[in-house]
Amino acid sequence: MRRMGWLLLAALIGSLAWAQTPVRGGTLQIAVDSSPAGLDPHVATAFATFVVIGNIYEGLTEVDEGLRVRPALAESWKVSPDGLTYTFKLRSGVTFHNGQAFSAKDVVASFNRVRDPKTGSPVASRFNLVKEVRATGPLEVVFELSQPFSPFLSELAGLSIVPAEYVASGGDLQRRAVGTGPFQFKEWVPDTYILLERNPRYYRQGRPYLDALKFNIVPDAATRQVGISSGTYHFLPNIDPSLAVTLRNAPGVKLYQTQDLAYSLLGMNVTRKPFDNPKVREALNYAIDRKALVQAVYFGNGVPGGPLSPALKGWASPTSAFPCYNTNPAKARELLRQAGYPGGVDFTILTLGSVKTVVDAAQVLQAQLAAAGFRAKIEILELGKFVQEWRNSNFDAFASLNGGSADPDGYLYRTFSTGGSTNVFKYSDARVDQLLNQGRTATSADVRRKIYAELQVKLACQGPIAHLVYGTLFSAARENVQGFKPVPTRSLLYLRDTWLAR
Amino acid sequence: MLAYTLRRLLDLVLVLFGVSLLVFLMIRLIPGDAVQIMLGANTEITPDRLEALREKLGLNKPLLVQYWDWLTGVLRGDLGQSVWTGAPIREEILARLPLTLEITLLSLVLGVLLSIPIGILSAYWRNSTGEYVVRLVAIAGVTVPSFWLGTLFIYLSYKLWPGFPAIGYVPLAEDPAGHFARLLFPVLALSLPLLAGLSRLLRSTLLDILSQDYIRTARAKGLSERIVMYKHALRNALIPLVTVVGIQAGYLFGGAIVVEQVFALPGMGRLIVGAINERNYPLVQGTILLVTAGFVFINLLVDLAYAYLDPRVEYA
Repeated sequence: MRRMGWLLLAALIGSLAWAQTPVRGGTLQIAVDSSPAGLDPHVATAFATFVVIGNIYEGLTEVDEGLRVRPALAESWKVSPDGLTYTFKLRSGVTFHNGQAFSAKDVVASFNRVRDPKTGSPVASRFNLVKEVRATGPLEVVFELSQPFSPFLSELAGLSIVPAEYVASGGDLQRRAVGTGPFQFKEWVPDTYILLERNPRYYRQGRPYLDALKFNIVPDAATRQVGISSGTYHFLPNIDPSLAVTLRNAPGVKLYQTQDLAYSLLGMNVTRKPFDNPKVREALNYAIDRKALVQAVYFGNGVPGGPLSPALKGWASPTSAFPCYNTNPAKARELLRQAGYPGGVDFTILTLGSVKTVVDAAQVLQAQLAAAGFRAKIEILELGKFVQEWRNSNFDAFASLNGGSADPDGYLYRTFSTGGSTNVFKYSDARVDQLLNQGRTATSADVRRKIYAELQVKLACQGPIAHLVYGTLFSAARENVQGFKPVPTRSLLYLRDTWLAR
Repeated sequence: MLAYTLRRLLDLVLVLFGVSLLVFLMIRLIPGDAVQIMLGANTEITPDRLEALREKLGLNKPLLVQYWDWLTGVLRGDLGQSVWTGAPIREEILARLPLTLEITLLSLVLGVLLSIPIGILSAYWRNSTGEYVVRLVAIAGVTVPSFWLGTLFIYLSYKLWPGFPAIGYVPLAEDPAGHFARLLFPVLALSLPLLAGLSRLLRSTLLDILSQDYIRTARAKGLSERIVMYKHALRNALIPLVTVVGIQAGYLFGGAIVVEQVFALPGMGRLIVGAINERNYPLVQGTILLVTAGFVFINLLVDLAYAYLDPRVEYA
């Protein structure tokens, strides 16, 4: 105990010694597991890309570590009382990395580029409710919506502003990124590294502190682990829980953690027996021991959770609001019997072989469900096959990992609305549809809170998804890395405030 | 010899044609719509967007037309463009190939050069304590996969010599010493299994030959043990060795792919793995075709060497 006290004291003094005023300079050596497939922010779908380009590009808004929407390239905005017109006042004196001045026409051009079907942008559908965008001055932009859309400001954080002239003159955004962010693109040696340099004209005074970010591409987890232990790398963003556990006691290494927005789930096909019966879906929820999943799959680094991440404070209902989250195999059996399956049910769980937590979760679930009469067979698939079956709703059930969003609408609308773009479960419920539409169009936060509270209870026990665990999001850094803050969205926004203590 | 070489070259062309067709078809038989998979599990893509992308990549054309376009391109030396970055595939390959060839060649040379003395010595000193140790190491070398050895080397070097640059890559022109330091462990990890396999093979072949009548005759003539060994036994023992080296060279190339992954080296292996993960069709086709061509070509060289070492072969 006393030894512990001394250690704590030493750690405290140590951290005080580090916590000096920020110093300028140095290259932050970052190790990431995979190479981006290209740098164009409007067509990227992979985290590997966002981790890099998030430092190069900015949106009109940004989402901070507490998931609050903050001004970025827009200095301020006004929303009309009917919620249909957003007027943005843009920051003045901003230049792109190629020296072009940033103005309203870049915003309009970026938006139109995303919306152009030829671009094939995955973010396009987030802006379906935008009717028109126009520049009403050199530094003023107006977005006209066809319906009020509350998550609009947080969605705008995902719309990277690219320089209109550069794109119009044939600039290749896939290979040469040009943004307004704290770091500018310098060099990309495929499968080796991507080097970003400090943007000397960045509008936030004195930022960034670092001279450069070097994203070393290191596919092997064991190599990344040795690399950070030996000091070859300074920073491993968004690492697996198993790697975090190994690094927990590594000397010279510290872990950042925050609540992840992504969650593991068991999805059910509501057009197939037995999951067409809501009672069966409820029974399945009763059969799951989520706390045991947290221990077995996430090594204790996570929390059981419902339709919204606990990181969405003020929105996510506590799990105590969902009766079926109290593990009760006897009750599950009873519900199965009532649903007409006294002898239990047989079904198949599809999983993606490349995501370890998902495969582990499926195996633990298999054992848990068996106690309540659910006899699950696990089928591990390769990515291509999995995506295909998933898209075509060709499954009884699947175990997977879903990404999250800073707004409840991002979690729920496309997943649970009738015909929603990720509603592969074929779920359709008139009341849920009604609530989802009210939730995204209501302009009062209090009204929205009530709507999402009702939706969560309804979806948690009888919806097509058994929500399982929200993991802890870890990043690892050397002790002299200072000023970084992890963000639940996995963005590395705060690398602009990071410095290397000497 | 010339006729034989020409005949083999013609075979090579036919084989490569077959391979090109197979590679082209096989990648399209992998389950899953390429365009959908490229975009990942992100269904915020409407069907018309999918269609637009398909058109951009030429995947909406009939299969035969796609193949013809690709094949005629390849014959002109144009392997097409990478789907995502738009970079010419020929350039991407030329940027990566030298490193993989370097690793493969260094491993091959190291493995072969060390396996000959070790093989001879263990044949001479069979069943001695030293030979048991060599045998144990050899069995370990054959059974332990390179990627595991690689990880072990990285870990050990960090524990024993934390300053040693074991991870990452530096171009030769930039820092020759750093370049070779970083290739040390990958080459060791790759050559150890080869070394183990070859020395065991050489030992058993030598033991077999040394018990033959003509060796007894040679010894009876009063030739020195050196001459018996080098002129009579070794030359014959090298024939199976050459075959195995040829086959192994192909596998080394495959092993290099795995080792590149572990040591974060930007060679062909990483290029291929990345291309498959991204369903970058033209890039997968181009790289696989090239690797297969390399494999087939090495086989040709082996057969020619074989014909040279054992003149009876070409008449067979």
